[in-house]
Amino acid sequence: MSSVPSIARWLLEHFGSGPDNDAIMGDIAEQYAQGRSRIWYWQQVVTAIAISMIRECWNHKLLASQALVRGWLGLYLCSYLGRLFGNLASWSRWWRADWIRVPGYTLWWLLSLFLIGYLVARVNRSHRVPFVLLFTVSSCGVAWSWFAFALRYFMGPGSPRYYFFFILLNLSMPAAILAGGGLLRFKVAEKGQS
Amino acid sequence: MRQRDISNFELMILLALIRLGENAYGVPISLEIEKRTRRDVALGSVYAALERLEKKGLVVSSLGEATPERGGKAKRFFHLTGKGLRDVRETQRALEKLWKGLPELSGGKA
Repeated sequence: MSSVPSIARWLLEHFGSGPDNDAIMGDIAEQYAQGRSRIWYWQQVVTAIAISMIRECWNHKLLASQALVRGWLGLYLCSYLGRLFGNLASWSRWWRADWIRVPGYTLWWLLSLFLIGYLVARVNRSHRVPFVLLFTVSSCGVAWSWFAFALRYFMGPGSPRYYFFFILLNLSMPAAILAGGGLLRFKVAEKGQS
Repeated sequence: MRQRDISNFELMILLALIRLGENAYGVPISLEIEKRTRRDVALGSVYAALERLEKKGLVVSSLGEATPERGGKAKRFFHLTGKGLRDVRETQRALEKLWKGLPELSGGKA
C-alpha cells in the first residue's frame, strides 16, 4: 500500500472542519489504498475542505459574519495605524530610505495579519477553522485582485527590492493569518497512520 | 409537502442507503452512486448531504471501528429512519405520478 500524499493529508487534517472530518479522512485514505490516484486524492481533499468551510459558515451565519467583520475592521485599523506611523516617522532620514521603510512595512503587515488571524479565531474557538479560512480567502482574494490590478495598471519600473517585498507580503499573507488563527500547528502523527 | 425538501442528490443517497443496508458508510455510498449514475462523487458532498438528511431526521449515524488502512480513522455508518423510508416512498409515488402520461422522451424533444 503506497502512503497517502502527506501534504494533502496535512491540509485536510488542519483545514477540514465539521464533525465528519475524521470519517472523511478515513474514507479518502481507504479508497486511495484501493488504487485511486494521487490526483483523485488531492481533488477529494480540496473539495472536502471547501465544502466543510462553506457548510460550517452557513450553519453559523451570525458568528461567521461577526468573524468577517472583526477581521476586516482589524485590517482597516492596521492600515490606518501603518499610515499614521509612516507619516510620523517620515521626519527620520532612516525611515525615508527604501531599504528600511519597505521591509519595515512588510514586517508591520505580517505582524498585523498574525494578530488579526488570532482575533478572528477568538470569535468562536470551536469554529475557528472555518472562520479563519473564510477570512483568509476573503482578504487574500481582495489583496491578490488588487495586486494583479496594480501590477497591470499602476506599477512602472521600480526598485526590485520594492517588488520583492510586495510579492513576499502577498504570498506570506495567508500564512500569517492562518498562523495567527492557530491553524498551522503541527500535530504528532498518530500510531497506525499511513 | 415533505418531498420538496429532498434534493435529487439526497434522494440518490437515501436509495443507496436502502441498497447497502447495514454496511452504509462514506465509501460504499459514494461507490454505489458512482456505479449507478456513472459520475464522479466527492466524499465531501456526500457527507454534507448526509448531515442535512440527519438534521431532517431521515437518517441516523453511528461510529464504527478504526482500521489501519483508513489511517486509524473510524467509519461513520448511516441508517435510514422510518421517516426517511416514508419520505422515499412518497417521493417515488409523486415522481411516478409525474411521469405517468408523459410522451416518451427522445431526440431532445418531449
